[in-house]
Amino acid sequence: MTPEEFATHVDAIEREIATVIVGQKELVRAVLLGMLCEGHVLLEGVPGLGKTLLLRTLGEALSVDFGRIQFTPDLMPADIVGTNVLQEGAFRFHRGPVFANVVLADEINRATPKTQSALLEAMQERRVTLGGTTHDLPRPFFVMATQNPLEMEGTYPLPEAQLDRFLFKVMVPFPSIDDLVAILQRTTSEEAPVVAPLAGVTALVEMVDMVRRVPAATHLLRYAATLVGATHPEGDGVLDTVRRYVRYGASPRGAQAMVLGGKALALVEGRLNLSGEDVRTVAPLALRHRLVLGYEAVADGVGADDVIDEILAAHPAPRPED
Amino acid sequence: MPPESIRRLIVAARRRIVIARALQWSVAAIGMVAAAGAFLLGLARSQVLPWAEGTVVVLAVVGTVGAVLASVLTRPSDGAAALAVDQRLHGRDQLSTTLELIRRPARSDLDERQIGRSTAWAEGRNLQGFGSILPGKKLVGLTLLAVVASLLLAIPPSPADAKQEERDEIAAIVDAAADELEAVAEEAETEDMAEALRRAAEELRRSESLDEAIQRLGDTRQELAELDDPQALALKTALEGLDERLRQEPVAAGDDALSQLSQLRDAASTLSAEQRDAAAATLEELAGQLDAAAPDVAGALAGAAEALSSQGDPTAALDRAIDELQAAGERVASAEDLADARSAVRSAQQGLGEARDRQEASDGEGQGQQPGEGQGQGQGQGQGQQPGEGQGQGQGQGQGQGEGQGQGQGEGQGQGQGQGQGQGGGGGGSGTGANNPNPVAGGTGSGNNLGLGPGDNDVVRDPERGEILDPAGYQRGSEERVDFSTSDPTGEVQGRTTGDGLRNVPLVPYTERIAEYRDQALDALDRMSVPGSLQDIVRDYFTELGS
Repeated sequence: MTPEEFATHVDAIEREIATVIVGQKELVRAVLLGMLCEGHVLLEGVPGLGKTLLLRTLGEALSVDFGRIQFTPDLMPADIVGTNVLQEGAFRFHRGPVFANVVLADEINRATPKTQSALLEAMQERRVTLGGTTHDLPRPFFVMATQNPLEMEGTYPLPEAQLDRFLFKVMVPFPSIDDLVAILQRTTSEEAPVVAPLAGVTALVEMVDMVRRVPAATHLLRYAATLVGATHPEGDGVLDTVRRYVRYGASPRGAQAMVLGGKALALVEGRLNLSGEDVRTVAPLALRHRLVLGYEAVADGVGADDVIDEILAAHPAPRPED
Repeated sequence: MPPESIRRLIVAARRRIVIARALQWSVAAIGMVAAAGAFLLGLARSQVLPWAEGTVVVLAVVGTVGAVLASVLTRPSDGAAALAVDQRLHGRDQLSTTLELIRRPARSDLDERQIGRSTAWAEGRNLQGFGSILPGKKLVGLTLLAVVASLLLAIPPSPADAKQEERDEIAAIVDAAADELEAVAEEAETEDMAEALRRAAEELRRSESLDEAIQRLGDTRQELAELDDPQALALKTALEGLDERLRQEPVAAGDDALSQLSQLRDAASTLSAEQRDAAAATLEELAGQLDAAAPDVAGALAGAAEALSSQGDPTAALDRAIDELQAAGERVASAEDLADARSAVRSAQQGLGEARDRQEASDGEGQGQQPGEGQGQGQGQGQGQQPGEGQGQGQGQGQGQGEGQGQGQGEGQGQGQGQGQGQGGGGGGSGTGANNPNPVAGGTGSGNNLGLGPGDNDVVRDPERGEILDPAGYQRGSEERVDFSTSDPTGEVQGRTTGDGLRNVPLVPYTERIAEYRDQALDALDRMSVPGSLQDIVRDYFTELGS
C-alpha cells in the first residue's frame, strides 16, 4: 500500500461512515486516527449521541470482526475474555467477545473494577491468559469504550492507571440542529443506510504498519515531550494554571500518543512526515484523560481541555530559534 | 548533502534571517540607546553632564555594531533555516524532516518518498512570502519616537549647555593664561622666575573656579613682586642715557656704549695722546653721571678713564668696564623679563576677572529676567570742579526676581549738560530689588548716586577740554621764530615769537584714546617704566578715568 492509497482508503472510509453518521466529522476522524495507531479509544458523551452506532459502522466499513460488550455491574471477567467449559470430559476454551478486531465496551464505567481490569489487561497485553493458557487476540485489536459522564451513581470510574491505557479520549459533542434534522430523516424513514465493507483486516494492518514508518524529525519528538513535560506541576517553568490545577501530569504514553496520532493524521492528510501542527491537533485527544486535576480545578470549573489549551498557547509549534 | 533545491532554499533563508536580525536588532539597539539617551539628555538639560551626548552617540554606534555582530555570530543553523522555511512557507516541517532524514544512514521507503516529495516541493520555490527583512512597524515607530525625543532634547540649547559653554570658556581662558605663562617661562632669563611661572601655570590649570584661578594668579604676582629689582629702572635709564650720550659724543666707532668701549679697547694702542685724553674726559664725565644709578659701571668707567689718561695700557680697565656694562645690561634684561612675566600674569588675571564679571552679569540677568517684582532707581548728579561747568544726572533701573530673594542689576544712563566749559556727568544708578512673593506689592529698590561721567563732550562748546593729544597724528607745527633784540636800554634781551607752535598739535576726542592710554599706562606699570612710588597713583588715575 502506498501513502496515496492510504489516504484514499481513509477518505473512502470516512465517506462511507458519513452515510450513517451525520456530522461528527471530527469525532469520526479521531476514532479513525486511534484505530490507525492501533490504539484504544475512550469515547465520552451523553447517551443517544451515536457512539455505539459509530463504532459498529466503523467495524462494518472496515470489514473486521466486531464485538460488543454492554458493561453492567454484574458483568464478570469471564463474560469478556471467555471461559473454560467442561465438554466431553475435557475443558475447552470458549472465547469471549474480546476476541474481535474491534471491541465495543459500552458504558465501561458501569462494571466493577475487577471486570474492568480484565478488559484493560487484554487491551495492554493484547492477549488473554486463562487457566494457565495464553490466548493471543487477533490483530488488529482495538477497544472502543464509551462512558456516560452524567450518571455517576452505581458506576465505577476508571482509575488513572487504566485510563492511561487508552490512546485517545474523544468527547462526543451534541449534534447541531441541521445534523439533528438529518439524523431524524435517516432514522425515522423506512430505508436504513447500508455500509459497504471497504478495507478488510489485511489492509487495515498495512495501514497501521505504515503509520509507524512515517518519519518524524527530532525537534518534533522534542516538542511532544515538551508538551508532556509542561503538564507536570512539579516541573520548572510550568504555567501557573498547571501548578494550581493539575495534581499529576501526563505519562510518557501521552507523548507516544501525540506522535503516533500525528503521524496517522499526516498520512490521512496526504503528507509523509509528522509536523508540529499534527502534534498540536492530536494533543487534546492524547492528553485530556491523562491529566489528574485537583480539587481547585473542580471548584473553579476548570477542565483538562482548558489546561491543555493554555499549555498549547504557551508552547507554539517549534520555531527556528528553538 | 541535501538536494540542490532544498540547499538553495536553506542558504537563501539563512542569509535572509541574518540580514533581518541585523536590521531588527540594530533598530532595537538604536531605539533602546535613544530611549536611554533621551532620559540622559533630559537630565543633562538641568544638570551639566558634558559626557552625555558623547556617551549616547558612542552607545548607539556600539549597539548597532554589536547588533550586527550578534546577528552574524548567532546565524541560524541549516536545521533552523529549514524550519523557518517550513513555517513561513507552510511546508509543514517537511524540509526540516528531510534534512534530518538525509543525515540518517538507513532510510525506509517512506523516508525516500518523503525526501523526494520535499525536493519537488522546493523545486522552483523562492522565498516570496518568507517575510520582510525590515523590522516591524511598531519597533521602527518606537525607535523613531525615541530618536526624535533624543534630538529634541539634544539640539535646542539648554541652561546646562550655557553653563557648560561658560565652563568651557573659563577653561579655555585659564588654559590660555597658563599657556601664556609657560611661554614667558620658556624665555625667562633666570631659572627662579621660569620655575615660578611654570609652577603658576601648573597651579592655574588645577584651578576649579575662576576665583581660585584669580587667587592663584594674585599669589604669583606677589611672588614675582618679591623678585623685583627696585634699582633696575634707574639702571636702565642710566644705561640708555649712557648710550645716547656716547652716540652724541662717541669715544670710538659704534652705535652704543658697549660697542664703542670694545672698539676703544681694540684701538687703544693706536690712539694719540690727545685722543686718549678726550676719551678719558668723556668717560670720566659719564662715570660721574652714572655714579648714583650704576655705581659699579661708574667705577669701571672711572678706572678706564684713569687708565687712558695715564697713557698706560687701558685694556684691562676697559675690559672691566665692558664686563660691568654687560652685567648691568643683563640685570636690566632680567628685570624686563620679570616685567614681562608680571605683565603676562596681570593680563591673565585681568582676562579671568573680566570672564568672572561676565559670568556674574549673566547670573544676574538670568535671575532678573522675570517680570519685575523689585525695582531700583538711582539718580546722580555731578558738579564740575570748575566754575560754571555744568551738572550731570544719572538714572538707573533694576529689576529682579528670584526664589526667596531677588537680585537686580541696574543699567544706568547718564546725561550731562554743560555750560561753557563744563564737565558734567551722570553715572548710572545701580538698583537692587528685593523679591516679594506678592506680585501686586512689587519690590523695593534703592539706587546710588553717582555723579561721575564724561558729560556730553560737546566740542563745539569746549573744543579743548573735549580733545586730547593724538600722538599718532603728531607733527610739528609751523615754524616758530624768536627775534632777539638788544636795543633795550636796560640791556635785557627782548624776543618775539611767531608761528602756531603747539596750537597746531593734532587733537582727537579723548574718549577715543582714553582706553588705549589706560592700557598703555597699566602696561607701563608692570614694565617698570613708572617708579614704584608713583605706580599706585598712576593706576588709580587711569582706572578712574577709564570708568
